[in-house]
Amino acid sequence: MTKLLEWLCFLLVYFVTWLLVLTKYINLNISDEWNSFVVYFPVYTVFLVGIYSLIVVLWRVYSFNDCPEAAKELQQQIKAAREDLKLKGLRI
Amino acid sequence: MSSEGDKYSILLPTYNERENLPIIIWLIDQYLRKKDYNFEIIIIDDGSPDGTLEVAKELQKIYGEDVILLRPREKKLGLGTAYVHGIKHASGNFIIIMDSDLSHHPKFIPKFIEKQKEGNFDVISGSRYINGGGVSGWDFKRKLVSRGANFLTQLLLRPGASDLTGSFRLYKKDVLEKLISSCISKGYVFQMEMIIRARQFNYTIGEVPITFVDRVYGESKLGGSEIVQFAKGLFYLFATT
Repeated sequence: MTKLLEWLCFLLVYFVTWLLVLTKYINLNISDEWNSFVVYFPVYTVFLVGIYSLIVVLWRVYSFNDCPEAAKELQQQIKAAREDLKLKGLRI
Repeated sequence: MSSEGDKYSILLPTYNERENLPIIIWLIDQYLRKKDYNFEIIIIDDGSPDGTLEVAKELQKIYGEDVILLRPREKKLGLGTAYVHGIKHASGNFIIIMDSDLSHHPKFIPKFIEKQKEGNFDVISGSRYINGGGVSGWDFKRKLVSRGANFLTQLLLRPGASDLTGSFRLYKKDVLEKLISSCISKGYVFQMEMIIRARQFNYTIGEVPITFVDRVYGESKLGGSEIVQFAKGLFYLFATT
C-alpha cells in the first residue's frame, strides 16, 4: 500500500466515524449544547494540526544549530591546506 | 592499510570546483590516512570550463594515481549517471558520496565508517537535523524552508531517516548499485528516493550528525523552481511508494 492510500484510508475512517457520530448512528450521549462542537470537529482538527505543525517547525528553525565553530575550523583548514599544497608543488 | 580489507571509494562529481577540489582532497587525505583506512577518490568532472580537470591532474601527481582516479565526462550530465559512471571504476567495497563544494566536511567520513562497522549498516546517512548536526551560513528563510520541507517529508513519507535531501552518505557497493538501478528521479529528489527505496528493500540505515557549512551565499541554491521540484518529487514518492 502506498503512503497516499494509507492517508486516504485514515481520512476515510475519520470522516465515516465523524458522520456516524453526527447522524447519531453512534450515540455518544452528547448533550445538545455540544452539538456544534461535533459539527465543527474536522475544522478544529485541521486548526489544531496546523498550530502544532507551525510550532514544531518554528521551534526547529529557532533551535537549528548554527555551528559557527565548524565554519571557523573550515576557514583555518582551507588556509593550512593552501600552504601545504603549495609546498607539495601544486600550481593553481 | 586497513586490517579488515575494507576499501572506501569516494565519488566526487565536480563542476567548476577548481578552488575547492584541492582543499577537499587534502582534507580527505588528512583524515583518512591518519586512521589508516584504505581509500581512493574518484573525480568525475563534467567538462568544467574553469579547468577543474587540470587541477585534478596536478593533484593526481601529488597523491598518486592509485589514490586519485580521474573519470571525466564530456559535458554536464545528471548526478545519478555520475554515480553509475563512478561506481564502474570503483574498486572499494564501500562507496562514499559527497558534494565537492566543501559543504560536506571530510572529517565526518571516519565517523561514517565507525558507525557502519558498529551495526553493519547497509547505508550511513549524514544528517543536519539530528542532535549534534547543523547548518552554518543559512538565513531565516532558508532554515524555514528546510525545516518546513523536512517536516512535511517526515509526515507524509515516514522514511525512518531524518535527512532525505542531504547527499553525504556511505553505501555498501552492491546496495548502492541496486538502489541506483531502481531510482527514477533526477536532481536532489534522487537523494530522497534512494533512502525511500532503501527502506523498501529493508536495508538498514544508520545516521551520523553532520555540520553543513554553506560558503555560497545568496539565493542561487534556493529558487522557486527548487521548491516546485521538491514538491513534485515529494508527491511522486507519496503516491508511488
